Amino acid sequence: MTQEGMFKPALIGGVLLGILSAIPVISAFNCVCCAWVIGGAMLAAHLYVKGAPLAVTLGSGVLLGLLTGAIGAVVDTLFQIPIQLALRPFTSGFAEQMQQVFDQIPNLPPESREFLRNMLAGGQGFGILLILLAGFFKLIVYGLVGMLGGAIGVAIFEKRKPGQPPAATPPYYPPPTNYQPPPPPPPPPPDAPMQP
Amino acid sequence: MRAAIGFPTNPARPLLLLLCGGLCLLIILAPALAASKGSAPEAAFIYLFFAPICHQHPERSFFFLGHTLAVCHRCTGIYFGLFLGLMSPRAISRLVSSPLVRRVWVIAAAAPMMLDVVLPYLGIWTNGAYSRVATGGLFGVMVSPLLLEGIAELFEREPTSPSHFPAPLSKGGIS
Repeated sequence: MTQEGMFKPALIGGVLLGILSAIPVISAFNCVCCAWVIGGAMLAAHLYVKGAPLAVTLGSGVLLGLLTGAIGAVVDTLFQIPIQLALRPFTSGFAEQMQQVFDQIPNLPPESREFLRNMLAGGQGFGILLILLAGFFKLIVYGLVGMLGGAIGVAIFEKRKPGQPPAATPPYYPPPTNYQPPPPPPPPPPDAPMQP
Repeated sequence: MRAAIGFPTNPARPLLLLLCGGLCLLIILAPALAASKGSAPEAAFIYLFFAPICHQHPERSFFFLGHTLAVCHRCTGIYFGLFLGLMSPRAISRLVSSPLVRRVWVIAAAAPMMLDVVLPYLGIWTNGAYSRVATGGLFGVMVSPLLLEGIAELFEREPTSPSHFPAPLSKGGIS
């Protein structure tokens, strides 16, 4: 599998981690040692190792994890925007909803909370800007954690030694295209004596 | 011949130390900025930076200058453990060169932390600040050689060299 072949496993792992990180309540699992990010990168590593004819190295795992984390961050941010818009009718407003998000960061100092509240008071544009800013932070953080997940995934799923050649496969000889099976033997005449 | 990690020819170790050190610094800087007047926006951004990957609960975080660190006990252990592990000698990185050793190493690194997370829910164990920091730190120290080896390998790859793996075999025979 070439380095270009990393894209498909990274896309699968990244999209899955991005969606799971965007869904409310389920996304809280990321707070348990970045579970979704590490899990997404490990899934990508598993798919990549499975399809690679030679042993995958840690360097490839790190690169794959970085790509997976970056894709996950983009998908997460893209999903956050419609989810927030969809939840808006059930809340008092976007600014209040973002306020609830900040209230969930328990150790945010009062001055910081006041700063963010004033920023949100600027209108919906600032709220969207905040989601995009958070998305930029996620790009960095998910990328870094993804690298770790990719290395861990390769360490767990790769059992071959580096440089080990792939298992030899027997040569395959397809049948000739103009092959005609021999005609069946004619049946014996009914009055012919039985041969000893 | 593969360049040794840490020599100027391979910037993997200094780069990772800089990155990890920067993250550790941010973790401590957040409460320091929160404690100093006029730096609330900067502190807010640092807390927001770590918010996607850490619950940041005050009862599960260390305090510094009257404010909590930017991450919880366990994450603090992981980040600082990574930083310490990156300073380990090359011999430890060589230990994890074999696939079997690597697998056992990762499981040994993650198992104490997973047990520390899961057992309290089963009522068998009550974790505390020290167990969270210790298990997180052990995980960080033990996985740092894997990260270091991986990044070092990326720097050793020549940009013009062909890809490492041939094209996949097509079904039905050798193409």
